[in-house]
Amino acid sequence: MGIRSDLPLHAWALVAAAKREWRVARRYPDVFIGAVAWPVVTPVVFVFQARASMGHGTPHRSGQTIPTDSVHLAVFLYLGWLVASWLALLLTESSASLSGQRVQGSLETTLLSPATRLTLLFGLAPVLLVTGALSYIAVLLALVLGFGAHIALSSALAGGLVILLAGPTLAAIAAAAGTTTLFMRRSGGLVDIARALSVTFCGFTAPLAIMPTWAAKIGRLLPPTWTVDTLRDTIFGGPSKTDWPRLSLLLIGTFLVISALSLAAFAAGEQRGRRSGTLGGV
Amino acid sequence: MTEPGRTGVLDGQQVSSAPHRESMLAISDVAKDYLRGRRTLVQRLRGAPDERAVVHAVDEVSLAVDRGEVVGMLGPNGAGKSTLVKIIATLLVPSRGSVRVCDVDVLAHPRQARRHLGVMLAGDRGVYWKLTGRENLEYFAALHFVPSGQIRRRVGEALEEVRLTGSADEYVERYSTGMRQRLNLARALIHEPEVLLLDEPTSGLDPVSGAEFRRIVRGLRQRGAAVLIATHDLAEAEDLCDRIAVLDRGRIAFQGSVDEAKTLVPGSSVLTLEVEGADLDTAEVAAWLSAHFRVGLVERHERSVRARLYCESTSDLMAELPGKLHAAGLRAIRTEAGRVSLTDVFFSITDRRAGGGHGHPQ
Ligand SMILES: Nc1ncnc2c1ncn2[C@@H]1O[C@H](COP(=O)(O)OP(=O)(O)O)[C@@H](O)[C@H]1O
Ligand SMILES: [Mg+2]
Repeated sequence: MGIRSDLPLHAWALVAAAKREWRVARRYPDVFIGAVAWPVVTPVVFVFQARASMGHGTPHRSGQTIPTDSVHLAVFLYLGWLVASWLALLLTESSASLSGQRVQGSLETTLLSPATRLTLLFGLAPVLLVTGALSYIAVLLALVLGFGAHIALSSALAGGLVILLAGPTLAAIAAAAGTTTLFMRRSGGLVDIARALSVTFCGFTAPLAIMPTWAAKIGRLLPPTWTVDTLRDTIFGGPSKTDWPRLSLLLIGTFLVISALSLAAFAAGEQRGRRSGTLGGV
Repeated sequence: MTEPGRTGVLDGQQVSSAPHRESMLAISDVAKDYLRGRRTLVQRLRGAPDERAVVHAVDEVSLAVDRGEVVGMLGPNGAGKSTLVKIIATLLVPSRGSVRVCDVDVLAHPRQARRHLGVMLAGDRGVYWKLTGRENLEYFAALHFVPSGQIRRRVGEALEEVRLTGSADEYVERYSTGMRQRLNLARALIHEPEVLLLDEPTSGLDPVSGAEFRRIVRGLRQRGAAVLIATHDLAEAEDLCDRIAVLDRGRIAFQGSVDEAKTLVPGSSVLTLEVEGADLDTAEVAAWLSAHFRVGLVERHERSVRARLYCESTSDLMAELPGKLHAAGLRAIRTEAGRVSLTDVFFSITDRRAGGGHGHPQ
């Protein structure tokens, strides 16, 4: 009765966990409303701010031009904010879900089951993948209708593929952050660190090119950076600008590595809680 | 829960026909020490001596529950009941000792052990408030590996069993405490486990639901499940349990049948005596009583002191009582004859451990 022969049972438990979160999200759809509202409303300010401060046509020392045309600037910032707000939502919702279950006592009852702890780590992921897709669609509509951007259908679809590919990886980062929040009681754990890191290094609001070299180097190691870079490349230059097999491998590889690490961290935290008797506490 | 064609884990293993009894749950020499207090990061870094106190929550406990047996674990608050339940349930690792569930070593193979266990933790927590009762059970059924094709049917049966069918599609946040507790019971039963651990299952229930609950537990016994119930409700234990274990400050103070337990009480009958006086010194009354009678619990009430006196014949005791009381200047305002109950057992065991005094003054 090894874990392998039970694989379908674990998979089914995972589906049930996703269904559970989906039912809650459907009942309280504010997470979807937020996914549409935030990335559409927030960047407007930044677009105007950037327009005011940058003036026109500033070629940068690295040779990479910062988009200065108003529509270009809007697309650039909107896509940055899309990934930023999606990641923020993933991080906060994942740890809120885990901590909430602990307070509610359902974490303990879930731990009574033989099912894989991935149910706790990834139950919310499908809902958050949908919020990502909704945000993306909302942003495209805002750009096309609000700023008169011309976005080819092929670019739009390829951008959707980026969202789909990046979703699991970003969800894994959120699961890792949520796990540390859960077991490091009364602290934001990795959530705050991850948010700060991503805002600083991932080029959401400014191109990596204008960052100090060391910061850009760090930024290029982070999956949210790949996501936002690829999205911008695709929307500006079409699908052919991206090496899709390489991107897929990178994203799936990091997804697997981070998931394995999260699962190990969860197991360690659970084991520590089983010794100290703190799994159920509020 | 025994209609034919059922594919539960207990199928074809009805106890009534089983020639021998076997332990489905075996706990041996289990101990759990908690550390009380905090050790800060600064203390740790400085290498300061660890000043946390050790609490022996469970202390060398051995206990077995057989197929088709209901065992009551009795004990006052803080006796270690919940700790023991959580150890068996794989939520806690004991400091010492071993636990086997259906011949699976719980410490070595917790995942495997969880398949055989149905657990109801204390309180009405543990279910998802923002889901309906039915949605909760569907989720937990999948989590406990109920085959997907059977989930619908199992959830329906479990809801029926705990009489929640009518409110199955309401959100749990609108449930009453008793309903949530019944949902928790249904959750524990959803995968038809062979071993059930119930931690104070009736603490939030009204008497009618309490009776319903006892009916369900009797059904489980009939089905061949092994049931361990932690409770401080003595009447319930007396009504339901084949055997009891009295836990006191982490140790088993008594283990055996309810009848055996009653032999610990010095007498087969009990007389409840209430003497008048708002200003009586409880300890003095208790001392005087124990000099003349076999005395159990002595309690202070607002305008009186109440005591339980043990004897073989209440009529004999009633005959000699007025004279003795009069001589001591006490006046009985009520006497009531009854049979020895687990309350008396409980008192005589825990009181003896406390050092043999009488009358915990209240
Ligand atoms: N996580 C914990 N850390 C420290 N002490 C604990 C913890 N859980 C329980 N205890 C202590 O262990 C003892 C037994 O508690 P418990 O098992 O809850 O008793 P019961 O269920 O019989 O009321 C109590 O003294 C309690 O304070
Ligand atoms: Mg308890």
